[in-house]
Amino acid sequence: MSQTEAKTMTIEEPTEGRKLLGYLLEFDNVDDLTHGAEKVRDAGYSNWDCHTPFPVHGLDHAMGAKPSHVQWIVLACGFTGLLTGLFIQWWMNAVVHQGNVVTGYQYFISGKPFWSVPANIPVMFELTILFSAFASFFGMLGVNRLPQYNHFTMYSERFGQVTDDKFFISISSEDPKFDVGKTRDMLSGLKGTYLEVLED
Amino acid sequence: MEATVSAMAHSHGITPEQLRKDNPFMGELAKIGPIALVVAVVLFAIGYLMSGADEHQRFFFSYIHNYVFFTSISIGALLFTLVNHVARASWSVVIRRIPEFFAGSLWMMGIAGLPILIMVLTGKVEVYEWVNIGSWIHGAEQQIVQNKEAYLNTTFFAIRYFIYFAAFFLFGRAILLNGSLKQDNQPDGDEKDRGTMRMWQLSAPGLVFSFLLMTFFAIDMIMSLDPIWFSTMFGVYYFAGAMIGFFSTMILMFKWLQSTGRLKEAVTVEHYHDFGKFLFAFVFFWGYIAFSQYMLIWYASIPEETRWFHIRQNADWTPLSWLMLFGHFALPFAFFISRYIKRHNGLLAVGAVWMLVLHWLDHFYQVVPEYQRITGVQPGGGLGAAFDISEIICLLAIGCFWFGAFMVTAGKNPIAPLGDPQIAKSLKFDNVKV
Repeated sequence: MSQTEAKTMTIEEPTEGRKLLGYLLEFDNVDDLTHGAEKVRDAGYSNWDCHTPFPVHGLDHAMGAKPSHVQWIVLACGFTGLLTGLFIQWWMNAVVHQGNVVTGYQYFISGKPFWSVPANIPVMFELTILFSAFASFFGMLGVNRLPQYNHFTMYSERFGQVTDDKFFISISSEDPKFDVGKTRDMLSGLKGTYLEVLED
Repeated sequence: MEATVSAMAHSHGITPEQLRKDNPFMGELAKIGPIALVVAVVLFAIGYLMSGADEHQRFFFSYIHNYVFFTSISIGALLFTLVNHVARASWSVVIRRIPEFFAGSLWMMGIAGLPILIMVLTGKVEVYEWVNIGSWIHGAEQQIVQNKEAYLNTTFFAIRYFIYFAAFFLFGRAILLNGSLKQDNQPDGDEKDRGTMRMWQLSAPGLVFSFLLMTFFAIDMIMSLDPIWFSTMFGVYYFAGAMIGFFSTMILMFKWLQSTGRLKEAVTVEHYHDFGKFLFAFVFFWGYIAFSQYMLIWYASIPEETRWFHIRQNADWTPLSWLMLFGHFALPFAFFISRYIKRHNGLLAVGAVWMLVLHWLDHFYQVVPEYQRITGVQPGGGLGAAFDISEIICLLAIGCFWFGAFMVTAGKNPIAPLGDPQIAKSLKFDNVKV
């Protein structure tokens, strides 16, 4: 991708008396977006994001994203699944009636012992996978605070192109470092093509 | 350590021109090759002569054990090279030459295996009982093995042996290594690209054939030590171990080469990270298929199948079975799951050494209990009594031969594919950064 040609950026002006939600900067290629993300990261913003039509290799590094905590949720749930698998089989097959306590039912199958770990491993394995898969899917949603019903980028007409061929950086006005003038100056120094002001 | 790791991760790699200056040759080290081959022959002679008392019976079990161990690593290298061509992988180009040397020297393991072939053809030493069904197998078992005689006979064994290593020569040496070496100083252009295309195309059938040959090799060399027993999982079991051995070897090999000042810039933490990922994957794969083999046999509970495990989980062998479960699977699984460890050069090397030792013990576990079954000798003194000094001599002898074959194949050739069309892309390779 050539970066030699000079980019002209169209810059919108905020309207008097309307609440500013944030800025949205449009890029037309991956390299400019990645370099732009590095600048925003180095400027110390925290409530901002990149939006792309497809996964971009190395973008999380450019954004300074920290390692996710989903893995620990998955590990904990995986172990829970493992022990659940072990427990339900012990409860259902290996325990007999004891007084008033309702317990499991012993199956006698081809001379196998009622309780033997090799037979239990497939179920333990499957429940480990099942619980881990649920944990990674729902854990990912939770850590990403999804689903979100509204986001200020939804106020943009141009933002629809994020599913096609454009790349965006959005900075929320709720960011502690956000400043109407300074943030706009910083963004206009990047190699974007259109700086949009999003207002309520 | 972390500081250097992240500093390397941030750089965008070196250029192919810089790689040519990054000492990509064995140089002085190549002299080890012929010396190691001579040492191997001397050690073999010593081991063989020392073991005369039982007609070399125990010696041959040690020999087969170590032979299948070292051959598995080279077979892993062949499969790795093939699958990378099939996938048109670019990340692996810079580290592909070392597996190519192993794959290219795999046919020489056909020479190292000649004592086994001669032992089978002369039929004097009772190692493979099917060699002499009439006098080495008794009672009802005789009929069972006779039914398998169409496959398990010495002539067909010799023919198969020849086919394995002829095919390994064809794929490993003639197609993959020679094809890659040819590109080293070839000018960029259509002809070079055609060479790459040819390797991509031939690797697909090559992968199928090599996998089949490896399966039959494992059946012939290890599974037929008990001619009654059978497991449809056995080829995959050998494959899983082979890949573990191979990736462990790769980690240690590059660590060693880099410690001598070779490929210091070209091979980065990103490549080690990927070796670690593969190692982790195959540790789990091994656990998965090893347990599947065990559970199916345990559940069906047919005597001719369970006898293999019965020996191995009783008496002296019990600790070894537990070691396989925890040392070869559970512990390394927990160890290699960590991203930090996979990107930490030193810890990864510790894990690689551990896996190589356990992979060696895995083959010990597969081969040597059959000696006890055939001879009826109950060691009775724990695992130590089942061990024999010939294990060490064969380890050194075949290890020297295997490494010597690798070094002789490397010779004066570059130890990275300098001219591969994808080399520039490979040098920039980077896992998703965090």
